[in-house]
Amino acid sequence: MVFSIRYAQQIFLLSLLLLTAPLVFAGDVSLDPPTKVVISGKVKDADTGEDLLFATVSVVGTTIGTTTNEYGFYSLTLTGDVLAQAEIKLLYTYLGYVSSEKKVPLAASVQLDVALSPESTKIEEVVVSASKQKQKEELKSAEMSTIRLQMKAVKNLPSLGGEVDLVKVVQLLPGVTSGNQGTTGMLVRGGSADQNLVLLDEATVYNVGHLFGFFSVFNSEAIRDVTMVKGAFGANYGGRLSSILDVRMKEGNLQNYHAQGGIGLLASRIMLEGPIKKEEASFVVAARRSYVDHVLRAAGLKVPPYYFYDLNAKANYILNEHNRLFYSFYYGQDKLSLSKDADEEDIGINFGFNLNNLTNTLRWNHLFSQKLFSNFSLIHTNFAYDILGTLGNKNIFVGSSIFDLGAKLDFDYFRNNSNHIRFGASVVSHHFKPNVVSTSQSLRKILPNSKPQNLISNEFAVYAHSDKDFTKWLRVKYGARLTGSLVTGKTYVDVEPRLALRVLLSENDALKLSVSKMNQYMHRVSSSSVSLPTDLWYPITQNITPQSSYLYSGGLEHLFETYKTKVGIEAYYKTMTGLIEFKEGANVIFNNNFEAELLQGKGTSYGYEFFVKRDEGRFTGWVGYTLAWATRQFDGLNKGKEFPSKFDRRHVISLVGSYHFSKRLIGSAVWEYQSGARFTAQVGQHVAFDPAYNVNLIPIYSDRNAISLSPSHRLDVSLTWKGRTDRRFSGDWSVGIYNLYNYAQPYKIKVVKDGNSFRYTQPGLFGLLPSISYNFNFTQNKK
Amino acid sequence: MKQIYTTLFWTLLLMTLFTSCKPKPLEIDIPEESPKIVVNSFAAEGYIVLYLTKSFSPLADTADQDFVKSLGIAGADAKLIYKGTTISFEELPDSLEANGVYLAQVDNLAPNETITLEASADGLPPIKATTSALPLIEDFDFELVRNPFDSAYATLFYSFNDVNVHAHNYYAIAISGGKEEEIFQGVDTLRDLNTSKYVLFDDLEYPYATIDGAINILADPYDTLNISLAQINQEYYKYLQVSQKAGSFFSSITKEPINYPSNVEGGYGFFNAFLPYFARVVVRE
Repeated sequence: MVFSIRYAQQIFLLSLLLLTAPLVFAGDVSLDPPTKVVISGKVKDADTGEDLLFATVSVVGTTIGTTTNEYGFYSLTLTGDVLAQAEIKLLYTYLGYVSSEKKVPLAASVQLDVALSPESTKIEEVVVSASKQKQKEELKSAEMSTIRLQMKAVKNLPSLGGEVDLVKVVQLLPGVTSGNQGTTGMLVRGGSADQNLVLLDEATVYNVGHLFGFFSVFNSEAIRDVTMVKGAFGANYGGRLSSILDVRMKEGNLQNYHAQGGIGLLASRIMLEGPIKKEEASFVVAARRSYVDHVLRAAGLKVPPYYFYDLNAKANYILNEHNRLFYSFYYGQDKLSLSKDADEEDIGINFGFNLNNLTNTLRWNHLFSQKLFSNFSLIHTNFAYDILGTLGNKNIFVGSSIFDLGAKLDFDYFRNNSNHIRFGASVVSHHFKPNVVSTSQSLRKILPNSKPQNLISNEFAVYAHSDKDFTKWLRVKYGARLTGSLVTGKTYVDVEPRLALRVLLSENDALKLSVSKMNQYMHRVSSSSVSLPTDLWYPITQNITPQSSYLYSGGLEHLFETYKTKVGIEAYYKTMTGLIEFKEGANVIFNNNFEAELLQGKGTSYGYEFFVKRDEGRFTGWVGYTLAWATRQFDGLNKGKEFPSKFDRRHVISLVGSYHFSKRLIGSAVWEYQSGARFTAQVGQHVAFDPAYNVNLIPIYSDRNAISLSPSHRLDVSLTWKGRTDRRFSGDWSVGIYNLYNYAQPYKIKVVKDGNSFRYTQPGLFGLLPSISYNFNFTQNKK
Repeated sequence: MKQIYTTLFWTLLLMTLFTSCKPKPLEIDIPEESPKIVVNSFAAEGYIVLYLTKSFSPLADTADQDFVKSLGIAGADAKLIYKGTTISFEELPDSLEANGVYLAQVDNLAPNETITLEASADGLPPIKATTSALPLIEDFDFELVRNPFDSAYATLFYSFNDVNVHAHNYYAIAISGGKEEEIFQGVDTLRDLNTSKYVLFDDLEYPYATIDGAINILADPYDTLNISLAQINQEYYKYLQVSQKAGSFFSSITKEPINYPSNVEGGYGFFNAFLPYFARVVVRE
C-alpha cells in the first residue's frame, strides 16, 4: 500500500476526471437530441417543504423509474417508444405519504417539483402502495445489505425508559448486534465497534453514546431518517470496514412553525422548526436533557449526579432553483461531577468527567443541469473527553480529543435511466491528542505527566461508480475508490474496488452479488472487557498500519406483492487485516505510549442473514435472523491461535411489530434473542512466590473468548394513544414495558457465596422496566 | 397542572416498581481445568528448594487455611538432572506448616549449566522444567536510609555492575520484611501498597556498566529488611514483568485476563535456580 508512481498516476487521472467532469456532463444536456426528454426535480413533503430522500418516481405503465438521491433530487431521461405518446403519467411515492400521479407533456424537457402529503393529512386519495413501489425499486436496484428507516416509522416501538433510540432500532436489524444490554454499541457482521462510520449530516460522530452508551446522541425529534449500509458499499462511502450509518437531520419546515417534544421518565426533548422566509429559508432547533439521576434518586437509589444534554440545529436557504445552502450543527455533553456521597457528606474527592461532541456541516447543493447534481460540504468535528480529579491538594487531569476539518465534493450524474454515475472527492485532516495526562505532587510518582502529542493524519479519497442496466435482467454497480492517508514519515495509498450486481430472476425475484474492499485509517483502542466513551481513537502511524477488509456477499430477494412483504436472505464472508488489540496487561486508560502496547492482527467473519419486512398496512414490522461466526488471530495473543471474537454471537433473532388497532391506537412489541457474548473464563488458579516472597494467587484462564455467556432474550411492549393530528395542538401518550417477563440479560460473571461454597451467576442489568411518556405537537395554521 | 402531578405520581410509582424488578441472575457452569503441578523454587548456596503445589478451582475458599495447606503436594517424586547426574529431592517434614517442600543438594552450581527438573505425583500429570544457574553478583553496594522528604519511607540506594556489558542481561532486586501494610490512610495518603517489592532491570536501559538508583519502601526506623539481588534470565524476567502488570492498580480495575508464561511443561509456575546475593539490613534513622 505504500505510495508509488502507479498510485500517483491513478490519483492524477481520477482528479482530472473529477475536475473536468462537470463541464463535460453539463454540456451533455445541451447536446441531447430532440428525441430525448429529461424530467427532473425534487420530491418534497407538502406540509413542511422538506426534501424526501429515496422517494420513487416511475412512469406509469412502463418499467421506467428512479429514486431521489440524498437531497431529494431525481432525473428521468425518456427516449424511444415512450416518446410516441403526447404525455405520460408519473407516479411519485414515498412510504408514509399519499402517492401522487402527475401528467407530464413530452414536448420538451421539464423541471417538475412534486409535493407529497403525509398519510395522516390526506388531501387527495391515490390508491397506490408506496411500500410496494419502494420494494420494487429496492429489488431492481443493485444495492444490497442496505436498509433505510424513517424516524417516524419507528417512533412507536418500545424502548428502554420510553426513550426511542435510533441506534437501538438499527441494532434490531440482521447482521447488527449490540455490545451489552441497553447500550448503543454496534457490531456489524463480525466487525469491531470502531468499524462503523456514523455520519450526522455528513459529519463523523466519533462517540454515539450518552450516559456510558445507554442513550445515543441522536435526539429522535431532530432526526428524519437513517440509511444503514453493511455491505455492497458504493464507492461514495469509505473510511470504515464494517458499516456506514448515515443519519440525516430534519431540514426545517419551510411553510409553518411547528413544535414537538416529549417528556419521559429519563429525559425530555423539544424541537422547534419553521420558516425564516416562507418557501425560501427555514430552521430547526432541537434540544434534549436527561434527568435519570434525579429520577433514580427520587426512587431511593443512590446514584451520582450524571446527566447529558444535546442540541441540534439546522438552517437551509434556497438561493434559487439551482442552488441551496444547508448548515447543520450538533453539540452534546455528558457531565459527571462527584464530591459528595449519597448522604451528601463530603468525601474529600472531587471527581469530574466531561464528554463533548461537536459537529458542524455547511453544504451547498448545486444543479449544473437537469442531469448533473452536485453537493459540496465543509465538515468539522470535535470530540473530546476529560477526567478531572482532586484528592486533597493533589490533582489529576486526563484528556483526549479528535479534531477533524474536511471538505467533500460529490456529483450525481443521471446519464440516462439505465445509468446513474456518482463521483467525487474528499479530504479531511484529523488531529488527535490522545491521553494527555497531567498530575501534581505525589500522584506523579504513580502517573507521570505526559508530553502532549498532536498526531496528525490527512486522509483523502477520490471515487467514481456507475450504476448501470446492462440488460433488462442485469444491473451492475461498479467503481473504485482511491484512498490514502498521509502521516508523519509515511503515506498510505490504496485502491478499493467496488462491485455489485443484480440479476432479475423474475418480476419479483432477484439475485444479488457484491464485493467491496474497505480501508480504515484510524483505530479505536479499548479494553476488551469494557467499552467506554473514553476508549481512544488513534490514527495510523508509521508503525500502526490501516485496517483493511474484503467483503463478499450474495443474496436472494423475493417480493410477496399480495402481502406487501419483502423477504431476503444474504450470505457474507469478510476478511480483515490490521486489526488492533492491546497486549495482555496493558494499561488501558492512563497511558500516553500506546504504540508499545498495541498488537495488530487479522479477523474473519461469515454468516447468513434472513430478513422479512412489511412497511405498510395495519401490521408493520420485520423479522430478522442472523447466523454468524467471527474470529480473530493475533500473534501475541492466545499463543497465536485463532480465537472467537468477543461478540461472536451465533444466533440473533429479532421480531419487531406494530399493529394499528385504529388510527389513534398503536400497539408495538419487540422480541429479541441473542446468543451470549464470549469471554475468557478463569478455569483455575495457583499460588506463586515472587522474589520478594509475596505469595500471589495466579489465575489460570481458558483460551481467549472460549466461553459464552448464556443466551439472552427479552420482550418489550408499548401502547401509544395518538392525539388528533388535525388539531393545532395534539398530544400522544405512550406506555411501555421493557423486559416484560423480567429475564436477566447476562453481561458479566459474578461469584457468589452459597453456604460454605461459591458458585457463578450471571446478573442482568435491567429487569422489567415500565415507562410512560408524553409527546406533543404544535402546528401553526391548524384549527 | 393536574396533568403534571398525575405524570409525576406515575413516574415515582413506576420507578419504585422498577427497583423491585431486578431480574434473577442466571446460573452458569464454567468448566474447570483439572489440577496440575505448580512449581516454585529458589536456589541457595549448595541447595535448590522446591515447593510443589497443585492448581485448584477458582471457586475455592482461599481464606480456609486447611485448604491452603492441602495444596502442598506431599509424597511427590521429584528429581534434578544436572551435569548428567540425577539428584533426588528430599521432602521436608510437615512441621514446616506446609506440605510439598523439597530440598536437593547441588554443590557448585555452575553458571549457564542446564538443570532439568522432573516431578510426578499421584493423580497429577507429570511435569518437566529446564533452567540454568547464573553467576552470583558480589559487587552489590547499597545503603538503606530514611527518606528525608517522607518519613514513612525508607530508601534503598543501590549500585552494581552489569556482569557482561556485551551481553543482554536481566536482574531483580527484591526487598521484603517492611512494616505491615498501610493502605489508604485517608484520601490524603496515597502510597505504594506493597511493603515487599521487587524491581526488574534490563541492562539495555542502562548505558553504562554500572547500574544504580534508589527504591522507596514503606518502613519505620529499626525495621529489618531482607534485600536480595539476582541475575535472572530473559524468560523469568518476562514472567515477573507479567506478574507486575497483573498486580497493578489498572489491572485490578479492568480485570483483563493476563496469562502468565511458564517454563513448566505439563504444569504451572516457574522453575528457577538463580543464586541471589542476600543481605538483612536494619533501617537507619
